[in-house]
Amino acid sequence: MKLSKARYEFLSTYAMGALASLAFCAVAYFIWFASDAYYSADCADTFYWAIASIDSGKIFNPDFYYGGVYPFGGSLFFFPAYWIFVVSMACAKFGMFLFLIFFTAALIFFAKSLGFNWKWTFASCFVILAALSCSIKLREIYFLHIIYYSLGNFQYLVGAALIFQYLKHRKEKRSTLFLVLAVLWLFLCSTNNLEGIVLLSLPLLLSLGFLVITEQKKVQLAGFIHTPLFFLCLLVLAAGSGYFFGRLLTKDVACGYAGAYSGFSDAEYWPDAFAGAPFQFVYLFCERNIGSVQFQTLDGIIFILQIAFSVALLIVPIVATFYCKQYKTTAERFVLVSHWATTFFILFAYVFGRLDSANWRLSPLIMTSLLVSIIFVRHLWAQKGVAKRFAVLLLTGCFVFAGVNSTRVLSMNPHEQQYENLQGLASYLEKSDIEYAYATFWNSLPITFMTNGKVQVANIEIRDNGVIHAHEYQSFASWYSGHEGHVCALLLTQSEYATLSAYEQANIESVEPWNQFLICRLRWDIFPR
Amino acid sequence: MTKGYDQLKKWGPICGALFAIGTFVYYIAVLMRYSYTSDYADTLYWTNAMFESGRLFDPTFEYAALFVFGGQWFYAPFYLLFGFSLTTQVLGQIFFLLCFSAALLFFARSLNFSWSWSFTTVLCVLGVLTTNEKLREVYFAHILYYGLGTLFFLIGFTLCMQAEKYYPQKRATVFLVLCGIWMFLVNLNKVPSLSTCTLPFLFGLLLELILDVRTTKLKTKSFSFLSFSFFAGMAVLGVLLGSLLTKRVNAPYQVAFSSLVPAADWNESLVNLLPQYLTLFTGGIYSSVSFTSARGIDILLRLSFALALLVLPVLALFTYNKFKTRGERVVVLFHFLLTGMILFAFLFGGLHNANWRLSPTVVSGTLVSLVYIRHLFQGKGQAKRIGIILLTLALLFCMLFTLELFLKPAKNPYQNNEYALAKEVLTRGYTYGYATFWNAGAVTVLTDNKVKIRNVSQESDGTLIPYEYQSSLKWFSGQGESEKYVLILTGEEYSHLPSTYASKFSNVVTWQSFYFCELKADLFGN
Repeated sequence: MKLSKARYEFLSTYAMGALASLAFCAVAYFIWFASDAYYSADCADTFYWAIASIDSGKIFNPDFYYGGVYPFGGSLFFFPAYWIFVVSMACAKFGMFLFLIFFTAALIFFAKSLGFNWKWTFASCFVILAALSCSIKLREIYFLHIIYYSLGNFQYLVGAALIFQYLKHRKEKRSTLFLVLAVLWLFLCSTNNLEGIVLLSLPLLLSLGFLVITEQKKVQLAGFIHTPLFFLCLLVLAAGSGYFFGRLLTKDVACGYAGAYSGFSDAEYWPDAFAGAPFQFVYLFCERNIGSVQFQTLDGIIFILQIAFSVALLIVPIVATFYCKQYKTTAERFVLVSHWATTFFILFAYVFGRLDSANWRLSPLIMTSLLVSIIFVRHLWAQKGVAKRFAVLLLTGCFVFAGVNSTRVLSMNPHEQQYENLQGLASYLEKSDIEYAYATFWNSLPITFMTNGKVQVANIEIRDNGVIHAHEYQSFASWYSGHEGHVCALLLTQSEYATLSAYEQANIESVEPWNQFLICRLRWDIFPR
Repeated sequence: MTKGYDQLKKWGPICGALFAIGTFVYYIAVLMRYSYTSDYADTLYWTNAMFESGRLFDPTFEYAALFVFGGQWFYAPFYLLFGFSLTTQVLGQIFFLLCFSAALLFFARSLNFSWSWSFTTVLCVLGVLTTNEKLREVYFAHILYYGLGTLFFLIGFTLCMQAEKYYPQKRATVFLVLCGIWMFLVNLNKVPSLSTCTLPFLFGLLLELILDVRTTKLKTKSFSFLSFSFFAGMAVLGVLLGSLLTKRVNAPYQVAFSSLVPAADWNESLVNLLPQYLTLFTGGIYSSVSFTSARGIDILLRLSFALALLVLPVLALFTYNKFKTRGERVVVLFHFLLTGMILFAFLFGGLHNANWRLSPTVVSGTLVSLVYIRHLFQGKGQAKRIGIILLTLALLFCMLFTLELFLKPAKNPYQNNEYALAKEVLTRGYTYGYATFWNAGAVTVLTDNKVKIRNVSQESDGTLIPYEYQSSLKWFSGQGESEKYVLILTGEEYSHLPSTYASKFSNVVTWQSFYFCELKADLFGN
């Protein structure tokens, strides 16, 4: 029995839809059920930014010390979550689930705007969602909190799709709608300061500018050359004014982390950073530390698959560059140019700047490489002969990788306890009468979550002289006052406890060991001091 | 003139190939013992373990690597005649060399090479393998992954191509079955065979089928696909049986090198890759060597040859579609798949700390380069001229490398520590002893097992313990009183020895940098 073309299309579209659903469900399962074990202090940021905004009724809470400042950032997804669930793990999960829905919708919008049919749109969602959830670090970066990387990618998808829609409908009335939306989007996203500009505005504007310059001679573009140029100017204005507006908004906001990584590094580190970049990119895809894992074990085979996929993601965009003249649409070339623009900016900051201290700062490139690679494979698919067969091979590899990863995520144990001690400590504290506590960064912020806000744990640091100080990073100033009359405690590790000064120790009423922690009940509140 | 050229074309390659084979026979029979180290002894030890235990694998022996279908079978007939001796190793290696050369010859014939081109292939591949002591060692001093993997591929490829050539005649089935059995046997060795032969070969066959848009004859394609499936099935069966056979055998070394390494090491592996590959041809390059000295020119020639072997396969890949036969295309794909797999294990795995682990790619690169040169040679105009130049250069280089080895004098044996040490312990009449790894296995073989030196390792406190690597546990229990025992230590090892050992010695003699501590009894005896 031979399948008719229409029937084949119908069946393959549904098959791709099922695969995309599998990847979506895998990520949703991770967010709702399997992520508990992976929540660390870092994951709390977006959630606290939302709380800070809602509590203060302002975009930025003057009482809060921010890790990164995004006027148009991920905290927006947590607003409804916070209104429904207040301070709790459910709130964090709901916020991320909402982001997943928007992110997937943006992917679909982007693929459809590129001219993909539903089959290719679903296939793209399947591969991208599976790739972005393939390792502990990537799952954290994309689906446990919303910072530069995932936010930049999400905003890029929407921004590019709006630009494609405008170019596609430029002669129709609705082009005005897309023009307004694109301008508004660029304005809003550019308020996210340097990160917004580098990850979104510049790649989009450079790609559009490059294509306006290089393709103006082509007949099909001759008729609208002025319109895209005008459109480009409007977008430049929007991005510029957005950036300055963002600067105004964040002028007096206390913020530390992001600024520390937007400077140059010493020249002696450049060669190592340059040579290490491709390997760090590859390492992002490895589930965890792979040292001494045997090739022929199941883990070894999965790592080989992850490494092979990531190496392909490094190579395919280079090959695609040589074939980009054959692409049928301007939008496809647009994505390629924006990939190289993003790569340039990130590699620049990675090699000559201080981004090289952490490999996840390369993660936005994963998304753009994936997009370019999918477009290239689709281009090969549309050819005949060897090219099509190559496309089949590449797609098979991608699907095996994506299928294996989605299945792996779906089979994650929801009771896995990576941060076993923190979760155990949180459950213990929830049952105790302690209301306020202090702990060092990694042991403080997640516990507030884990106890559903019942015990508020503030961030402290213990200086060399053994004296406790408030560590305001990602914290409210109000956490360090007004606890008189409440039961307060210090949550310390054995080694931290040993460094306390005699003065601080005198304040400890009783010490209760719990696993590796010591729960030190205080006679009087430490702050304000 | 034409007649003379024809004669040269006919006899030149044959003489060249015989010269290369003869040179390697000279290396194995004469030169090898002067550079002999304990590493060379592994295949002989495995053969010995097999015969002594009467089993495929001796359960009391700790193997460096596990080969169900390995080099021990080349040594077996000679072991029966000469027992555990250097003669067995020399004859076993010559046998392996002859099989390897024959496999090369028939491999080339299966690619539709003329006899002249086939003998040229033998000359060139053997010529490349003469370039450096390490290449000579891993291919023709003992039989390991590298030599075995290449041999397995050459034979498997030849059988497969014969089957496809004779299809639909009846004898195609014979070759098909033979190749299937070969795949089964080869894969009894599991990972070493899978990585150096089976996976790149089978995926090469499959990939060629997928990428081939010219063959429209469905019947031919179906046969190729069916034969691929059959080979793959037999390979899986081989791996399964191999796993059963080696289930309880101890081989920690092999395990250590088939693992991934932490990401922090990847960068260094990449940086080391090219130097590691080049030193396979040049050996250690010394900064004091001048470009214009004889050694300097020799190094420059070797470097340019090594770089050509990197570039020519890439050019062959770009002309992939122009190769007329499936065999040629499969060889190109095999090389790149093999290189990909080895590079993967080199960059991300534990292979990166030794350059000889890249050696299979040297042979496959040579084969692809020859296929490419022949393709150019058969072309017209400029291509043909380039082909002639490349062939001439390749022959010159290979003859030069072979000649260099051929003219190597049998060195003063006493320049080699192991060889001199073996002669010395034999002269002194010792029959059983102990030494650290590098002074143990080599001496045992070089004395034809007349002096059995067993592996020990020195702990941080200086005490000596049995070192089971490449040893039988039985060797460390009471050996009887009839033996004349000795403990061989270097000056440094001796200086770390605790004073309590003095009571075990009847006499301590120094010889060169060694200490011969004559033992009153077996060191680990009960």
